[in-house]
Amino acid sequence: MLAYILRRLIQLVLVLVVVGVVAFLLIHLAPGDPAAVMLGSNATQDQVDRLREQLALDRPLPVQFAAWSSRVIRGDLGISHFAQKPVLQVLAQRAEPTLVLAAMSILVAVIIGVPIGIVAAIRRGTVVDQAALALALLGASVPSFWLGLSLILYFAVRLGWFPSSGIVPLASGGLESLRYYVLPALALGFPNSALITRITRSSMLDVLQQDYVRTAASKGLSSLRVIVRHALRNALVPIITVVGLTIASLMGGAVVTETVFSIPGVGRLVVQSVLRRDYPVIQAAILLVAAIYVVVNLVVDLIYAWVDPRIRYLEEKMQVKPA
Amino acid sequence: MSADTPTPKDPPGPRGQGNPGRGGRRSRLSRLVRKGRLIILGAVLTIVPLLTGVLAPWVAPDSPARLDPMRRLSAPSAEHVFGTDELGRDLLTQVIYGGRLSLLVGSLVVAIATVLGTAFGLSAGYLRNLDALLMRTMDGLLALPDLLLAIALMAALGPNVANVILALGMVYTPRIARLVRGSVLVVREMEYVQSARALGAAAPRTMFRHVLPSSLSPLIVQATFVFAFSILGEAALSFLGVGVPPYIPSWGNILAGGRQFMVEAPWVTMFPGLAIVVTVLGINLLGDGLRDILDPRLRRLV
Repeated sequence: MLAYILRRLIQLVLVLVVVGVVAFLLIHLAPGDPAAVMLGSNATQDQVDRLREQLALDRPLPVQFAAWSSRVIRGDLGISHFAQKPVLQVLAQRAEPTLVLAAMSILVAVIIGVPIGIVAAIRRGTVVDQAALALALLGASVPSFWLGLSLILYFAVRLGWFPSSGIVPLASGGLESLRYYVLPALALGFPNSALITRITRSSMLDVLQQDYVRTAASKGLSSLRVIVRHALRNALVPIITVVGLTIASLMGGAVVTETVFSIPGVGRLVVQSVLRRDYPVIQAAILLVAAIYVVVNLVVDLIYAWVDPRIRYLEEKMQVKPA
Repeated sequence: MSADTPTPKDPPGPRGQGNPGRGGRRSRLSRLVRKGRLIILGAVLTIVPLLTGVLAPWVAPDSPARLDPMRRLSAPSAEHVFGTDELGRDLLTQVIYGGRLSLLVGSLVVAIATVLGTAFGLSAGYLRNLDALLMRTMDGLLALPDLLLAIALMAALGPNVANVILALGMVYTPRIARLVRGSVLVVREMEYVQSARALGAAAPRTMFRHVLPSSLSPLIVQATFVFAFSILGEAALSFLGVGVPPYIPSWGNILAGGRQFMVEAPWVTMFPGLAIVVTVLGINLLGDGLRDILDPRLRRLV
């Protein structure tokens, strides 16, 4: 297990290095002098020259990358030239809405996806199953921003059940502020439930075929008990994996959803920063999201390997296999 | 999940291995027929908006650029079937031209991602000394949500149609690369590939003549999904204002423009949204159906 964790950690670092290169190169891809680009249009020539010096822009790219990454590792992600504040501070101010939105969306996606997937598997081939698959297909085809707009139009404007946009911070609104997140979480959660439905269904179908489920059923256990205790428990591993992946993809969806609902989170900050050409913020957001992604993935895989030793074995075998 | 575990087609009663029951075969046939119908439905849903896009100059009722400020935001009527937008342009025309752009973006993104992804995947899977470098790079790109990576690339490249295509192409290349590499790793160990090598076929020849063809069906399936993703991606980027410039009709742009008038003129957001849903739903149906036919191992997923 230790060797497995170690190998995964090395992979994690490698992935982050690649993401670092992408983030680093963004500024160089942009037209114009990177120092001027980073400082924005209001900077004086003097400031630009100083930053050029600091970024070692006259040195070869690898040297620049080394300088940049050593600052990033020390937690210095640069200054947002729009906010005139350190990037990390800007991101931290925007973190709460995004985290609440992500948490509620994942809840929505799981609440929709898992039960529907289970029922579809149990009633395989029936109308119920087909309806579930149709719903999943619809979820995969609806753009979350259009769903968001439609939800606002119906539930906020017509019916007035929920606020149409904005948020109230948890600290001042408490539970009441969660009402602001209901529609955004539905808009972001429903499209993400599609994959969860499909994986739950196919994983359950796999397990329901197993002998021990038949045995449990023939022992006379109630079908609810068989499904929950014997089938679902063993079907959980792929479901956990896909939920983990969904957490990561939510970070992308949040960009759109936060814009639709005017939620002042990290996603909206990214869009605003693109429009303001505030590159340090974009770089930091990319690194942050990638870090969340790899850590979530690692945790999921570790749970996975811990629950099911066969995985570790398979991975090792694949590593050893000669080329 | 092991993808190759055979699953019986009917839940009750396992069937003998070499002796598929009659009922099993018939239900498989009826499944295929049903799937066939779904594929046709998918194809129709996909082709109608895209074909009207291709033929836009002939089928659109109006010129996409003609403004009619006196009739801005007018409701659907006999004259303007989908109503008009905030500048008084005929919305049906806008939506048709938006489909034209979606088709352009979708097909070019698929072309870029397929060519690059296949090249990377084949190289990684076949030339093992390139494998680690290429695949770790692909893993790094896959660690970012599609849309976020696309937005970041657009930030660097600047908003125009070519860059939208380039950015989305780069986003979906790793998916194809990973898929192709996976099939190559399986196929390269097969006897017919080994014997081609033993006969002295050069690496490029072996890759293109013997390895690539057998990786083709999952590739085709994945390409249809990339097409769907890039239509959604373009719409999202344009909606956010970092994609196609606002003066070019695109489903995302129409939605962005109509958003402010959503309450007074809901049709401006409804029709382009429906166009996206219908087209993407069609492509997804098509992709699912193709997967069923081309890649039986994944059948149980659908």
